[in-house]
Order: sequence, then C-alpha cells, then structure tokens
Amino acid sequence: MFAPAVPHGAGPLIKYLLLAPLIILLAWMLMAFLVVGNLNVSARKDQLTLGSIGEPDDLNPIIAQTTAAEDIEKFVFNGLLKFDEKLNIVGDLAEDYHLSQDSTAFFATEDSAADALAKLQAATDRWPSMRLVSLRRDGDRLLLHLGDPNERLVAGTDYEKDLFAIVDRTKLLPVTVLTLTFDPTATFADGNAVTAKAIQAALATLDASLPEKRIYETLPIGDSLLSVTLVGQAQPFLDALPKALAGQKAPVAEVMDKLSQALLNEPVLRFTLRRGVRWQDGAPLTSADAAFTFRCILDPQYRSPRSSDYWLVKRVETPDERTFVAVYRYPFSECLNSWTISLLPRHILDGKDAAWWADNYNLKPLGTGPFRLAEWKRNEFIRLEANPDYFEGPPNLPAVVYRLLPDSFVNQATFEDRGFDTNGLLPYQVHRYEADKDTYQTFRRWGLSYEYIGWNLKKPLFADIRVRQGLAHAVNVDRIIRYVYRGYARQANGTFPFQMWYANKDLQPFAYDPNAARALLAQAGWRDTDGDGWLDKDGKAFEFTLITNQGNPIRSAIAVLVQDDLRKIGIKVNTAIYEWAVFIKNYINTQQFDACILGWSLGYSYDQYQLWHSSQIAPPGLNFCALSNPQADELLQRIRTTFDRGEIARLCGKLQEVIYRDQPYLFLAYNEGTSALYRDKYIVRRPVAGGQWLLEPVRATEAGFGHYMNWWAPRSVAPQMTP
Amino acid sequence: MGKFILRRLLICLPLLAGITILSFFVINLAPGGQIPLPGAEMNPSFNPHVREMMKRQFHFDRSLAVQYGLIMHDAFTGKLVSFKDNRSAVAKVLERMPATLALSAMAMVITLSCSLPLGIYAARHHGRWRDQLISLVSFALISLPTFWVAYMLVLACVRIWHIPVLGTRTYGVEFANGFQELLDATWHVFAPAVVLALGGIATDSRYMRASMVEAMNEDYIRTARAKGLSESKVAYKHALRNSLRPIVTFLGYLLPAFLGGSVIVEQIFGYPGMGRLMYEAMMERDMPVIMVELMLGSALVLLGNLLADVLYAVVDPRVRLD
Repeated sequence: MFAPAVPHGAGPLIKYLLLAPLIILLAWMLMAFLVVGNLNVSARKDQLTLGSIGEPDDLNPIIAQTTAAEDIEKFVFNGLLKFDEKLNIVGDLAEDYHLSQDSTAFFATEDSAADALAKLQAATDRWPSMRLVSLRRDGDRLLLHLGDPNERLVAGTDYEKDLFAIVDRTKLLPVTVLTLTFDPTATFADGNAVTAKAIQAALATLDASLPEKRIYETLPIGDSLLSVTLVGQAQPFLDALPKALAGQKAPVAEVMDKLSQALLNEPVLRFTLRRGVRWQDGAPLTSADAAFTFRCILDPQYRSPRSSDYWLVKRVETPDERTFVAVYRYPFSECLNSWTISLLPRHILDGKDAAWWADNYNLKPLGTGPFRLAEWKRNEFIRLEANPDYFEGPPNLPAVVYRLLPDSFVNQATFEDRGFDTNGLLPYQVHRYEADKDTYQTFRRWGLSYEYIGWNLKKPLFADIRVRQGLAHAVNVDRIIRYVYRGYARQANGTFPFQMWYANKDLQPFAYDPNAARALLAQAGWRDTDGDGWLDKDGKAFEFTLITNQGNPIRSAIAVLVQDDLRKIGIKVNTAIYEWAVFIKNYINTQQFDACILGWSLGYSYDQYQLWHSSQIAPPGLNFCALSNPQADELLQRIRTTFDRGEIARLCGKLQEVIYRDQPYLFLAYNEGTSALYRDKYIVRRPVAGGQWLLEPVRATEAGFGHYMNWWAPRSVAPQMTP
Repeated sequence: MGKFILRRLLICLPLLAGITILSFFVINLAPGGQIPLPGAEMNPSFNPHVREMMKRQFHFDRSLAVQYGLIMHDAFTGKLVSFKDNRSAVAKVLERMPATLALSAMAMVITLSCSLPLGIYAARHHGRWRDQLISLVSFALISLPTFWVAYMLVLACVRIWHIPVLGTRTYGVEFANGFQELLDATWHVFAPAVVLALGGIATDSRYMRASMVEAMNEDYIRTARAKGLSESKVAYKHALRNSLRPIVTFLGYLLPAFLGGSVIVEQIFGYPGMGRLMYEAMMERDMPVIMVELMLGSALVLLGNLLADVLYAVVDPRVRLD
C-alpha cells in the first residue's frame, strides 16, 4: 500500500480553521449556560409576577377582548362602579349613584290629560307607593317623575298597577319603542345612500302619509341604528314600514327590537364622582371623561365590541364637573353593570382617530388605577409600576409583571420553577398541589360557565318534551363529572350558576334513571318494535348526530360518554367534530344540526334575553336551539324591567325552572376551577373605612381570591396599621 | 453581474405578486371562511348586529377578488391594519423581523459550524463504522419532530438545569455588567436556534459528505495523490475547495427552512419573532398580518436564493452570470 510521506494528523491549517467556529461557539455557550443559570434574580422578589397564556391584542378597555387585557385593566383603570367581593355593585370612581325615572303619559286630548292630572293630585296619599315625586302637565301629556331619596334604584314599570287604579288606562295612548338597524353601505330603491338622516326623512314622510301622526322622536345610535318612539296604535305604521324602507335589493333597515309600554319610561341614572381623583399624568378626572368614554364606545371607528351594552342609553349629560347623568330609552334592570366599564382620559384621546389610538394609547394606556403601564415587551412581559398618587392610597408592591407564556405546557413548567406566583390548575394537577400545603395555598372556585347538549327543537326528533326529558334521565352526568372533570364539577340545574344570588337553589337536577328514560320515550311513541336493539317510531330508528368543536377535549370526551349512555337505552348517536369556524358558521349559525355540545361563559349578569327569548331564534341569534316558550319570554322581559333585587331573584328562579323543565338543553355541569399561589409570598393590606388599613391573608371571596390583588403586599411587611 | 442581479430582482416582482394571489385564495379555502374575532363568536354579550357591523368594516361582505384588491391597495398605501388591534400590519411584522433574522443567523452559524466538520469527517472515514454512526445520527435527527425536540429542550432547561430559556432575556434579573447581558441574550437565541438547526445539520452534513466523497474520486485527486501529497493535504487543499460548491447553494435553501421552522420553534420558546406572530395571526385568522408575513417571508426567501446564485458564481469560476 501507498504510505503517506507526511504523518496523517499534521494536515494544513484549514482543517483547524474549520473546527474553530464550532469550538468558539461551544465555549461561548457553555459560558452562557453557566452564567445564565446563576444570575441574580433578586428583582423578582418584590414584584408580583403573573403568568398568562396568550397575549393581549391591545390594552384599551373599550376595545380589548382578551382575558389577559381584562386582568391588566383591573390594575390600570377604574370604572364609575365596580363589583365588590360579594359581587354587589358599589361605587368606584363614583362616590354615589342614584336611579330615578321620568315617565310620560300620552293622552288623546288635553282634557283627558287634565282630568288625569286632577285625579292624581287628589290622591297624593298614594304617591309614596308608586314612588311618584312630582307631576306636571304639558298639553296632552303628563310628565311623572319617580324616585326615592332613600333608595338607590327606582325605575321600571311596577308603579303602573297603582297608577291605573287612579287613572283610566284606556284613555292613555300606548307607546312603542323600536330599534331599527340599517346597512350604511346599502342604497334606497331610488338610489340614495342610506344614512340615519335619510331614514329619518323616509320615516317622517311615511308618518305624514298616515291618517294620524305617530312618531314622537327618532334618535340615531352609532352609525347603523335608529331608535324610533311611536305614540298611539303602532300597527298601521309598522305595516307600512317595509315599503318606506325599500332598498335596491332588500329593505335597507329592519326592526331589531320592539317594546310596547303603557307610558314612555325613561330611567335617569345620576352619578356623583369622587373628589380629587387624578389621571396617572396628574390631570383631574371630571364627568366629561365619562361622557367621552360613552361617545367613544358608540363611535363606529373604534370598533368597540361592547357597544351593544349602551344602545339603550338615549343621551348622557354632564351638569357639572362631578355629576354624570345617563338617560335610558326604556327600563333595563342591569343598566348599572355597563358602568363598570373603565373610563378613558378625554384630555389625551379627544380628537384622535382610531389609527392614532392603535399605535399609541392602545399600547401604552393611561388610567386612574393603582398601577400604570411601564413597559410592554411583545411576547415576553407587560410591566406595571405602582401609582403613588392612587386615590385610595399607594399600592404595597412597587411593580406587577405579567409574563406572556406560549402555551400551557411551558406555563406549568415555569410556574413550578417559581417563574411566576399564581396559576390556574388543570384538573389532573389539583390533587398534587392541594397535597403540598407547605408550598402552595390553593383556592377552589365554582366556574361561571357550563357545558350543555343543545337539542335543535326545530327537528321533529326533539320537538316532544317527553323525549327531551327522557334524554335528561338517560345521560349519566355523574359519570361525566367523575371521568371527564375528574370530580371537579357539579351537575347543572339550569342556566344560572348556582352560587349566584339569583339562581334557583331548590331545583333538583334530573337524576340518572334509564328506566324512567325508557318510560318517557315509550310515552312519546319510541319503542323497540322490531327487536333490533334500537328504539323506533313509524318505522324509523331513533338516530341523530351529535356535533361539537375541535380543540376542546372535555367536549369530545362528553360526546363519547353520551353516545355510550344513549346506546344503552336504544338510541343511536353518531358524533362529528368540526373546526371551530366551520362548526359555528355552517352548523350552529345556520341551525343545521341535530344536537350539539357547547358551553356558555356567563359572567355576573342575570339577563339572558339573548340566549332564550324567542325573538333571538332567527340566525345568527344565540337562541339557535329555537326555544320558544311564552312563559320564558314573559319572564325574560320582566326581569329586564324589574329593579327590586328580591323580585329579580324570584323571577330568575322561576325562569330557571321553566327553562329547565322544558329541557331545550341537556344541562351538564358547572366546573370547579382551582388556582395555586406560593404560600410564602403575599398578604393583603388594604384600606378600609375610616382611613384604616386592614391586614389579612389572601383568602377566597365570591369574586375570586385575586379580588384584592391590587393590595397584595410582600409577606415581609411589618404590620403597620396606619399608613 | 450587476445586470444579472437587476434582472433577477425584476423577475421577483411578478413572482411575488403570484405568491400573494395564490396565498390569499388558499387561505380563504380554509374551512369556515372569514369570521371577524373568532374568539368572540360564542360570547352572549357579543351582539350579532355588532358582528355584522364588523364584517362590513373588514369588507367580508365583498367578493374575494375585491377583498384581494383592497388588501393589496391598503398594503402599498400603508393603510393595511391588523384585524385584531388596528395596528399597521407592516409595522407589526417589521418590528418582529430583527428577532427572527437573529435567530436564523444563529441557526445558520450552528448549522455550518457543525455540519462541515461532521460531513468532512464522515467522508474521510467513508464506509467505515464512524461514517455509519454519523449517518445513523443524521437520519435520526431528520426524523425527530421539531416540536418534540423543542419541548424536551425546554423541559430539560427548566426542570433539570433550572436555567431560563423563554423569551429574549432572563426575567427579573439585574445584570452585573454588559458582558453578562450579552451572554444572556445569546443564550436565549441559542436554545431555539439549536432546535431550528438540527434538521439543517443532519441534511447539510449529508450533502457535505456526498460532495466530498464525490470529489475524492475525481481525476485531479488521483493526480494530487500521485505527486506524493499527504492524504490530509489532498483532502483539505484539493478536494474540500471543490466539494464546497453545492454547500453554497444549500445555504440559499436554509433560510426558507428556518423561516418555516420558526413558526413552531418561536411559539414553544416564547420567542418574539415573525414565526410566533404568524402562528397567532393564523389562529385568529388575521388576514392582513398573514398576507404581509407571507409577502415579506417570500421576499426574504427570494433574496436568499439570489444570494446563493451570486455566491455560486463567486466560488465556481465556470459559472458565468451574464
């Protein structure tokens, strides 16, 4: 063999040059590994660190939709009102609030108005029960003011019973409030563009063509809604409406909702702002900021998804710097909730367009809250710093950092490595964390969302209530809770979360009872006549398709268990899982399904009009299972106009029972969420009445263990009872 | 050369236009079609009327061709805004670009500094057990799913070594000096870049090996050996220079691979680059951002290919570009 003249190893320089980058790289990274692994992370100690999967799109409270943005909003902003730890609504930026009502009675003639006025004035002793404060006549109208200095909330239609005992109801002209929605990109049949003004003109022309004038008032809301108040018999006007609104292809506007009342009832909500509140840049907070926030929510250019909450507001007023008044088009008992919305600073945002907002304010918001935004590093963290000027007193922690983590896997690993302080647990982790009491404090809380199987009531298969009740007995919800929720759930007894004050606590859920199920189905005509193991009726087997969306393992597991339960009583269930967008667009919104597994996330609201009222069946309404129950419709309407808390609870309890008995859904379960917090880190130090500070451990409240997170303090703070 | 580059750049324009048209319509083939704010769809307080209003604002009521025209018009007048937060889509993508370029550059460095020595080593031990071992490892690396390797690496860092690995810097640290900060920054690029580079190392070292083995069989190698040069001089002086040519071309294909891989790797490492933005935009069906990402991404890839062609001409005198 040929032997090389030069020893094998002593090659040219290039051989070593080729290896050099690798060696340098490895050496550098080894050094980095050693240094980074032992960095001084002391800066973590006195800042509250939270973890979040998913990043906010923006931090503007009227636009943002992510839960991450909501969490940060609580630190940076305040609303006029807020929920306290027991979920009661209390003042926040508003020191006080008061609801009264202006009601207008319309009469056909001045004489009958004068007659009614005289009767009412003769019966002043009965005014208190109606809460009537003042009364005045203006031509053929009577203007009533209802209120009570000792009561915060006086509005609604409850007074009418007493009123009509004195005044002859038949003399009154009925009032109808319509909300028209129109398409601003459409054109009228004559080619004119559709604007609120053009529709107002078309309606006026229509009104003039009818024998009696009916329009009392028209009022544009946003850029595609118009409120119309009619006095007198509305039907002829409504009948003629489609012709007046004819467009080139379809009507340019349609009636979104219609409310008929005996009197025109306009609640007036009056807020008194706290003294001396300042924005984080030092400018004073005034009622003009509240009015500005309201205008921005309705301004279509800012695309606020919350705008529908404010469509009932007729106008807002700012009589002075500390008084803000909102007048409503008709009574709505949850009107207070919408004023928990965070206020925006007018002095910064006024006159700026949506593009400016998007590049400036939405990324670096400024509020009145205890912390202000210091830095937002995309995909990494959002850092908030204490606002020493906060109106309730300076916060206890210098900073709050919100870490933006990529997914639940990394989230868990980081939490266990103390990368952040508190975390929501997955069901299979709960046991382990609860057992480690030295390290973690854990909090259990009933969720505000439930899963259900919705039956499409438009399908003949589910039209019979006995079938739906039979199905409710046939599904073993306990088994679902045990195996799917790992025990951290409770069978739902209807549409209201059972821990809420308005929920029906006595309603017993349907028990698992296959024999009762078989009996009910047999009553409805479903029997296994051909002996093939499947129930049948008129020669057709009981078979349907149960659909749900992809990406929710709980729902797909439920589908399998339900399929198994129903097979046992002779019902054949096929299952299908679709990608979310397809599921909603092709099946739910078009109501092209037999049965679906879905869930609702409810919040604190008791108004479920959108979910259950028969007017919401038409696609893409949310009553896609098509429940049409006159009793439920009436209760839903009454809940919206009743302001007495006890009465609301009674009506909600009744509504829950009516819907639960009707079984448009097979209500499955409310989940129980568990969170863990490192035990050694925080206590609560918060201001209480009389300028005192209260020290207490972090504890569970009805609003969650994080309700006082603003006031968390390092455990090391020496007890200081005065600031 | 200048003429060639200009001509290639001009060809890129219709190519880019074609890419945008194709991708726009392919995205719209996705089942379910267009939904503004998919997350809000089942929120009881999200009124159907508001949804219709938003559909109009996003032009979802127009035909696809008109929508494409509007998107392109807005993109070139700088008015194209993300559906999610109204911010300029171009600005959103551009602010992510440096991070992704840094990641790609690091992955490139890792790929080259590992694959060249490995390939050469394998070629020099051609057919023996060391070569076979390297082949085996390469194929294993090619077969491993990126996301799995990424998760395992994150898990190892966080659970075993307790070393931070997410984002671009360690959370909650007060750096003693600038050097520490530099080490920290490079470490945070290094970890995801390793995952991104694994596939490249495996493939590139195979290319290097094949190319080197081929070169070693050429006539001029026999000549070099015949004139009595040492085996390593033959390999490194004569064979290596010629076998590097295909590797240069391969560089042009690494960039698209890195950009594609970054969608998954950046998501897992919480690294704030274009890939993670793309992932989020796709999940939210944020069409303007997807379009801008695809356009800028394709432009980068085309530039990378052009660069490879130019480099090829530089290293191979037989190739003439004019």
